[in-house]
Amino acid sequence: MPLTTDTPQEFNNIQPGASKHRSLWLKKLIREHGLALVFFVGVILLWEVYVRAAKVPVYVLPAPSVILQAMIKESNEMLKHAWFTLYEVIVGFLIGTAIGIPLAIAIVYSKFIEKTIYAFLVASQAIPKVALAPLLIAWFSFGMTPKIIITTLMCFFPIVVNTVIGLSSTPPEMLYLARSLGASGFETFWKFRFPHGLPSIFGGLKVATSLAVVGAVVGEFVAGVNGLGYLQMIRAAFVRTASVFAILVYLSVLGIALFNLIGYIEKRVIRWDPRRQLERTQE
Amino acid sequence: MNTTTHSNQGLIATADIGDRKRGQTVSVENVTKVYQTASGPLRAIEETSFKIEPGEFVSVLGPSGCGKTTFLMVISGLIPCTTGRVKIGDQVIDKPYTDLGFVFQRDVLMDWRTVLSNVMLPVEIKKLKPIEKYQERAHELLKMAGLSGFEKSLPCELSGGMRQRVSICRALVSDPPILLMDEPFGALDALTREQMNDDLLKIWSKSRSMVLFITHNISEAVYLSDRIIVMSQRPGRILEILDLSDLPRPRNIATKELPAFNKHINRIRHIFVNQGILSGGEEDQKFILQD
Repeated sequence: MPLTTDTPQEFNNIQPGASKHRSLWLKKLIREHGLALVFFVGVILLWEVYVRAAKVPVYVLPAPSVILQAMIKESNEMLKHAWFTLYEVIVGFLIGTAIGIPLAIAIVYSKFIEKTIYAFLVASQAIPKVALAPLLIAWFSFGMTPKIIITTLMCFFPIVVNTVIGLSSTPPEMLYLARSLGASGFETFWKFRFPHGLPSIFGGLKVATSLAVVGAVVGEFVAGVNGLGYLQMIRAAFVRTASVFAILVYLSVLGIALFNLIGYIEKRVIRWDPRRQLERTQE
Repeated sequence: MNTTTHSNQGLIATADIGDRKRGQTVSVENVTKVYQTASGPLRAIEETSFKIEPGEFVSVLGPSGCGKTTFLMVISGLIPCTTGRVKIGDQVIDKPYTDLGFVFQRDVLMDWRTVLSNVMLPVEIKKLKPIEKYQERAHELLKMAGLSGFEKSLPCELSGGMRQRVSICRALVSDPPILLMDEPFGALDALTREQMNDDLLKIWSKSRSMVLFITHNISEAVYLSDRIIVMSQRPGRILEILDLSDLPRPRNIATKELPAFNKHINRIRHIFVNQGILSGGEEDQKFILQD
């Protein structure tokens, strides 16, 4: 990798202090993501070269440079629609979390709820939620509500399942310890089960963010008047393939940003090493 | 259960506890335990009775799966016995008894708490006061366990032996008169284990609480205990109770070279050979114990 061999010499000439700190940060970035970056740039270049050399029509597969042009030229309109999508995703995700986590707690603590609601929930996963969209439109009309509901439905299940798994994974010794200390039911939950389940809960939240974007876009496909999904339908209808790709890029950026936001919060909350915790749980 | 007053008295006296024996007698009276499993009832413990006096260090020694852990669970009130009863002092145990320290084979540290905060967990949950006193004691215990400077570390930064030391400090922080230890060093390597035995004796000699120590390691049991309860295979019953008062305290490396030390080890080996728990050699042969 020429990238890594070239960099140290260059950085040695920079005087110590703040800039040295920055160079370390850059070095780390290159060491960790350098290969991914090289690969990504390589794929884009190959794509560009192929489309130009083979003269692929622009309505079939536009070159990356053309997509970039579309992204810049239509950025005002796309960003305007992106706000709608972002709003649906965030509200849907928050509602899914606000219902999902308490429900998971109820499932873990009540055999009755586990046998009824949880069983029903697992069975309901056989229904493709996307196929519910026309029904929701019929019930809630064309506003944001049906999109938010689809988003909520999409992220709800992974949050519930992962929270249930996390809260039930407390080692028996830890519960014995809690009881032998005379901990109350609430203390056992708040000081033992919940923190022990946090890594799994965050796993569920991360899966939910990507599903939330899917939910919002599907809702906009079916009955959108706003949002990136709606815009994509319009552009596709007019065979503006470059714009469709540009919207795809905006959507991915949105998904990645949300995923990383949850990842950042997770790093803040979980300072211990959950992999070691998991190993010992499985011993 | 008047845990708070009891622990407070103990705490104030920490510095000059010396050899003073405190706490109450634990009596196990005709206890049996039968587990209901999918494949029918499983007898874990046959009818058993014994007593442990305050300040005594008693080991329960037996093969794997002989119901040793069940004993601790029954004594601490975490699981009920099928027949018979357990008494601590005059109190019949029918719910978890909280004035004791519990050390498990796995350290069961809270990964999200610092070392000091892990040690302080019992104080926090039992709402013991004043906190400053207990904090001082926690620091003192960690120092004795060779963990000074690690107070703010997270458990994932420590080795297995250090983690188990933290969990022992946690069990001792409220200065309970009873300490229950369930194969606490079973997951550690042999060298760490020997060091842990010495560390445990050192810490114990300062508090002199009653210790009920579960192990399947013969020399560990002989080295640590005042008495050893030798148990059979499942269903567990007492084969013999050995008195080790001829091994003087404080114990150290010289203890292991005493003739009496080896005599006890051999005696226990012979019990296990006679029971068929150990084969006793390459060929099947019955050993006759010479006293």
